[in-house]
Formats: sequence, C-alpha cells, structure tokens
Amino acid sequence: MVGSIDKEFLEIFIDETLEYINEMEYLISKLQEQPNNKEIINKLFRILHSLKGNAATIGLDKLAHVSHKAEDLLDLIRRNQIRVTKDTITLLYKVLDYISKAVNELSAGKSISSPEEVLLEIEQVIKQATNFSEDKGENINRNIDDEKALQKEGLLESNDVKKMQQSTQKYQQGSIINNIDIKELNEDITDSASCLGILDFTESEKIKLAEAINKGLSIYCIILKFRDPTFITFRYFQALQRLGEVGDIIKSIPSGSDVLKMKTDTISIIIGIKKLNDLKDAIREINDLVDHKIMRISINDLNIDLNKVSIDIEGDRLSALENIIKKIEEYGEEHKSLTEPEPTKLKKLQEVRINVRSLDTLFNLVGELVLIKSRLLSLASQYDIQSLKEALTTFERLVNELQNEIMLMRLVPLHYLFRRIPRFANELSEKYGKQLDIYYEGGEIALDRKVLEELSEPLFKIIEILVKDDIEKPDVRVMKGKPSVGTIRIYAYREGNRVIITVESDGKGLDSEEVAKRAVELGLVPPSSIGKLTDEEKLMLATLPGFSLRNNEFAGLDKIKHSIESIGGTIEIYSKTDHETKITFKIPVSMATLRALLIKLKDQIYAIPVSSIITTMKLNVLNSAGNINVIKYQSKFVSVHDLARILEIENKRKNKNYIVLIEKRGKYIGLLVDEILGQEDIVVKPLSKLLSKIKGFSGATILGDGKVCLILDPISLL
Amino acid sequence: MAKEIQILVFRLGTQLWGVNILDVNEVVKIKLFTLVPRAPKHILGVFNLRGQIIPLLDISVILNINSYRSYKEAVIVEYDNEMIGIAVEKVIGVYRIEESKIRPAPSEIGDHISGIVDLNNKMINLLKLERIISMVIEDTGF
Repeated sequence: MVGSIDKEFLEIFIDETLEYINEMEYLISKLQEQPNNKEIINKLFRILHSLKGNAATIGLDKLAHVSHKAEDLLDLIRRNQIRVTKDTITLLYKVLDYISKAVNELSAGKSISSPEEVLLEIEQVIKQATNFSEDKGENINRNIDDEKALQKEGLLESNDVKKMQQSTQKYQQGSIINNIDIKELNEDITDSASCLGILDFTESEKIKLAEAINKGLSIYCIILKFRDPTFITFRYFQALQRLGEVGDIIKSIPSGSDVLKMKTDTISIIIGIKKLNDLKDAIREINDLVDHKIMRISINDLNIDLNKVSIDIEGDRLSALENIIKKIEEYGEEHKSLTEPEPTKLKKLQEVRINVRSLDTLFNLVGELVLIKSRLLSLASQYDIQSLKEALTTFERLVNELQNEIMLMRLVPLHYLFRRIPRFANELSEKYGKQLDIYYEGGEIALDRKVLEELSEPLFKIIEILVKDDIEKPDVRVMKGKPSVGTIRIYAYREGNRVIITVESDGKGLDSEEVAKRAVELGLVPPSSIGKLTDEEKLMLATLPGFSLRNNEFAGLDKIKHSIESIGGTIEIYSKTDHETKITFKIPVSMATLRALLIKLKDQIYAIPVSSIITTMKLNVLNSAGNINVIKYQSKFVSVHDLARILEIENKRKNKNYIVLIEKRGKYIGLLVDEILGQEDIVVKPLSKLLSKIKGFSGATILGDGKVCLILDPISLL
Repeated sequence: MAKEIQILVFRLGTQLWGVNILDVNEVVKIKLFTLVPRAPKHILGVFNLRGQIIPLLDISVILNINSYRSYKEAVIVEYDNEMIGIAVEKVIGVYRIEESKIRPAPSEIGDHISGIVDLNNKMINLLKLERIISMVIEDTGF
C-alpha cells in the first residue's frame, strides 16, 4: 500500500504531520492547564480533522481512522459530554504517540502498525460518555451535524482533495435548509442582464468555486453600481479589498486587468461568504455606491458540475496538485496586483519549504565562498592591485551578508524543544512519584538547528535527573517544611554569541563534600587531589565518567557534559543543599564560524579556537619540575605539554619555540607547538561520523589552499 | 540474454578488486589529504571534496593484505548518508560481467568478498562494500 503512494506526496504528508504533532503536543499540554478552554479543543479538533483528510487522501486508512476517532472524542469534549481529566489527557497523548509512531514507520518505509489498541481505548471512553447521554438521535446524526457546525465556524480547511468531493455532497444536503433563510434574496439570477457572462466560469474559477463551497461558504452574486465611472478603477479596488475581508472572491466582471481599459459604472462579483450580515456591512462601507444588488446563487443554478470538478481532481492527483499550486499563484498575483493582501494568507505564500539537506549544501557552498574570498584577498595584497582590492571589498561585504543570512535561515527557536517539556515532566512525575511544577521561559531564543538537535538529549536528561534524584517525595518535602510540590525552572537567554540555558530545581541539592568523597570512593580521583579543589570544582567531579551517588543517584552527568561539549558548549553546576540545584549550559548560537589560531605541528596546520586561548608566548627557558615541564605565567606555575606527544604524532623537530596557553575548566595548560601562523575566521565543518569517536577534535575546516585543517578541542584533548 | 552487471575494477596491493558500479558515486584523484592524529590505522586521513570533509579509508588493513601504500585515487561511496573515500592504488576501469559467471568465494576468505570473477584471465575479487564499511565502523567503535 505504502509503495503506491507518490513519494513526494508522502514526504509532504510526513512533513506536515510532524508539524501537527508538534502543535498537538503543545496544545495538549495547554489543555491540561486549562481544561475548559474551548479554543484549544477547537484547534486540536481542527488539526485532527486536517490530518484525517490528508491521511485519507493518500490512502493511509489506519491513520485516518485513528484521527477520525480522536476527532469524535474531541467533539464530545467540546460538547461537555466528556470532561477533560487526567485520563482524557493521557488518552490524547496515546493518540499522539500512535500518530508519531505511524509517521516514524512511514518515514522508515515500513507499514503502519495496527491502531487497534488505541482505537479500543477511545471507543471505551466514547461509549461511557454516550451511555450517559440520553439523546441517542443526536449521536447518530453527529457526523453530519459536526460538519455543518464546522462549516458555520469556518473551521474546515480544504487542504485535501478527497474531502472536497465528500463535502460537496454533504453541502448540497445542507443547503436546502439554508435556502429557506434567504428566500427573499433568491431571485432568478439568470434573468439579470447586468451580470451577463458572470456565470460562465473558467477552469480555475471552477476550482475556486468548488473550494469555497467545500469550505462551507455560501455563494452570492453582487452587483455594484457606482455614481461616477471616472473613479471606477479606484473604487473597484476598494470594493474588492473590503469584500475580500469578508469572503472569498471567486471572480469579478470586469476583471482586474480589464477595469483599467473599460469605462463602466457596474461591477459584478461572485463571492463565497460565511455570513450574509458581514457582506451587507462590507457593502455599506463602499463609497460612491448608487445601487447594489445581492443575490444568493444556489448550487443548482451554477452552470458547473461540481462533482465533475472534484472527480477530475480525484482521478489525477498530480494534476490536482498542479491546480492547487496554480490556484495559489493566481491568488497571489491577483491580490498583489489589486490591493493590500490579507496578511495571513500572504504569509503562506512567503514561506517556502526547504529541504534541510539543500540548506546544508547552501551553507557549505557559502563556506567555500568565504574561503575563496580570503584567498583572493591575499592574492590582491600580494600583487598589490588597487582596483582588484576595491572590488574585493565589496565582494567581501556581500559574502559576509550572504553568510549571515544563511546562518539566520538555519536558526530555530527553542520553542521546538520547550514545547515537549510539560508532557515529559508529567511522565516523569508519574514515573518517580514526585509532585512537580515546571516553568520555562526564553522559548523565543533561536539557535542553529544542528545545535538545537544536539541539545535535546542533554536537556531532557538533566530534567529527568533532577526530578528523579533532586526533588524529594511529597511527604519528605513536607517534613522539611517545603511545599509538597517541587519546582523546576528552565530559562534561556542570550549573551553575546552564546545562549545560556539554566535548569534549576528546589530539591535536596548536591553537597560538594559528599560528591568529592564519593568520587574518591569510586576511585575516580586520587584522595590527595581533593584538598585543593574549590566547591565548584568538587561539584564538577560529578561529571566524571562513572560517577554516581549511592543508589545510582545523579548518574549520567558525564554523558550530558559530553553532549554539551560536543556542540562547543560548557556546563556548570551550582548547588545549595536543600535549597536549589542549578545546572547551566552555555552553548554557541551557531557552530558555523569560529575565530581560531592556526598553528603548525610537523608540517600540518591545526586550528585552536581563540575562545579557549589565554595567550601565546615564545619559549625561553623551560623549567622542569620532576618530569613535568612548567613555565611561570603571572606568578603562577603552569604545566606545559608537548602537543605532538599528546596527539601521538612523531615529531623529531627540536626547536619547538612557541607555547599556546589554553584554559581548560579554569586551569591553565601550556601546549608546545612548532610555529604560530596567526588568527583566522574559519568555517566549522563536522568530521565524519567515522571519526567522531576520536578524541581531541571538534571539527575541521578547509584552508585557503583547499587542504583540510583539524580543529583542536582543548577539553577532550587532554 | 544473460543478466549483466557493471563493476569498477581497481588495484590494491598485488590483487584486483571489483565493486558494483551502482555503489560508487565517483572516482577522484587524491592530491592532498590531512592526517588525523589518534585515528585507527585504517583511516588514512581526511580530504576536501567540494567543501565536504571526507574520511579516506585504507581498506588493505581491513582486508588484511599487503599494499604498496602509494594511493593515487579514491573511490567515493555513500554510506548512511555520508560520503566515504576508499583509497586505491589505481583504478583500472569499468567492465561488464555476466552475473552467472560470478563464482562464490571460498568461505575461509571471509564475508567481505561477495564472489570472484574471471576477467581476461585475471581474477577479480568482488567486494561487499557495505560489509567492509560496517567492519570499519565496528572497529572505530562508532
């Protein structure tokens, strides 16, 4: 079954569904806070409705079925027949889980697993609820009512094709009832000479028409007669703008381009609207009007066969897609040329889906441009060509702008991670029997999507550790005189080129002495080294591989530290016993460019990030204290290591003349190198996965001569 | 008609090796590459392929054969969405062979050879690239 779906179609579906999942996750967590908020329920309902339609369109019946049932569930919630309780929320999460699982299976090319379990659970809840309800007739007709209710609220979206066909039929049933309400207006439109030709629709207009009907809009013909044909063009645009606010304009005679040529005082417009009163209000606001006529057009009076339109679409999905695209283009052009467009609709047109891979390629190419730029600059200064230098100044500025722009394109707000927090916290509090309030702020801060991806795991892991090992059980908290509900606060803010994310909890805390004692006990550090450490350094011992307090508490901090460091970030721990535990991540906004010092070692160039360098110096005398070399820097003794030996490179060269002094977790370390070449802005590129286990490098860059240069990572180096 | 496949034949050490052309992205000349300190023996280094950084593998280590270690060309393959370069001494060319002519490799050679084919009286060992790369990965501990 999956194989028969157009691959491109499926990709779009998966993309969209992932967005839906994200949104639903957020909405469900909100619903939990505000169980009576109808708006949230409606939004969820709408998402499920779209999902159902989309899934049905491409033949994913299982998904369509689950969405459909979930939609039923939400409908009952909306009608207050089911209350939003913890169980309801759990059930909604289960639905969400199923959908995520199904999407994962789809993207892995597998077939979707059976929805039986989740369907059964929904069924049960629905059955319970409807048993209470006495009005059985209502339930039978529920589906039809439902569509109608949706149509009235304008909630129905017409983004799938199959639905078009279904609801046109439904609409026709419904329209009989509606027609009674507007009897007075139902004149015989075909008699009216002034709108001659208005009912001859082109193919694209037919699609618009079908779409409007499908949205549940009623179709009206409006004839506007203006006082003075001189200003007709202006009035015409004004009228269309005003009418466009209350409904979907399907066509107008004269058309936008014709009105400039024609001298007429009458315009006919076909429009789909939700409420007649809105239309009347809109017409009242049009200036210079002598007379106007509003006529309801019943579907039967339209000279088109709507079913045929939708069958055509169903018959050939590709052409349907093309039609939709064409329609959007036409829509865009029409509105651009006529009036100020509706902001919400235009927004859609301004955004284009870009494959992440092509974004990465673009990013790589711009990186190459930056490199070529520096090569050209050095050539220009070498041969001292003034005119080339001038041209290059402009070139440099443009390339920098381009690079910046692409960097911005890759930024994604933290919301994408933060949204998942409430649900995660819920699961944790249940799993570990803790009561928990969780707050977060700073979701608007944007990070490179790669950084964000890498941040996800350590962030959620740290929350789990805090819930599990820091927050006490409710009774213990009460005994300590704390509120029984624990609090975790997560906040993010930007500081220069870094984003600071702090996770803070008010649990029992980490005692630095206890951590140090335990680290010695586990044999992670020699007992002698403990005495000199500050409290903060002692706490950092908890991030050593293999560390945990008794009962495996606070285990796994080493992995978190490693993940954070792999994206160029640092981690800090602060704790006050029985008061607070605070973990701070400082991470770069983007891993893209870096100011680095280039050094030479055995004929190969390496880059060291300037951010971790304290200073460089020429070596005069090296003092040996035992078998460790030391130098004196600002009245402190600093140990010096041969970088070649650290990297296990054979380097017989004797005259290692330079020392690069780096900082590693507050400690100064000197590195002996052959030569220092200077500073440069480098474009950081990831090393292959094959090399990711090799310690000491955070990535690589490409130098002006095209050669790859490795970037040293002082933290994992030693 | 007999079913044919195309193979890319290259020399590594004293032997000729073949890979299915469908597994190969391209062949490039190795000009410069950068040594990676601390890397296992089968990783020669990294090089720049149009802005991407590609690891260069010495599969003679994995195949446990002697090679002259005078690598001139790299066969670029894609594995798990990443490009990997396999260093070879010389690419001989692309040949059409009949699938039925491929004989199974003796089992004691190991499971990285999918078969042996005779091409103009020369024996060509057909490599299972995927198996070799996954062996590299296991070895690297990734």
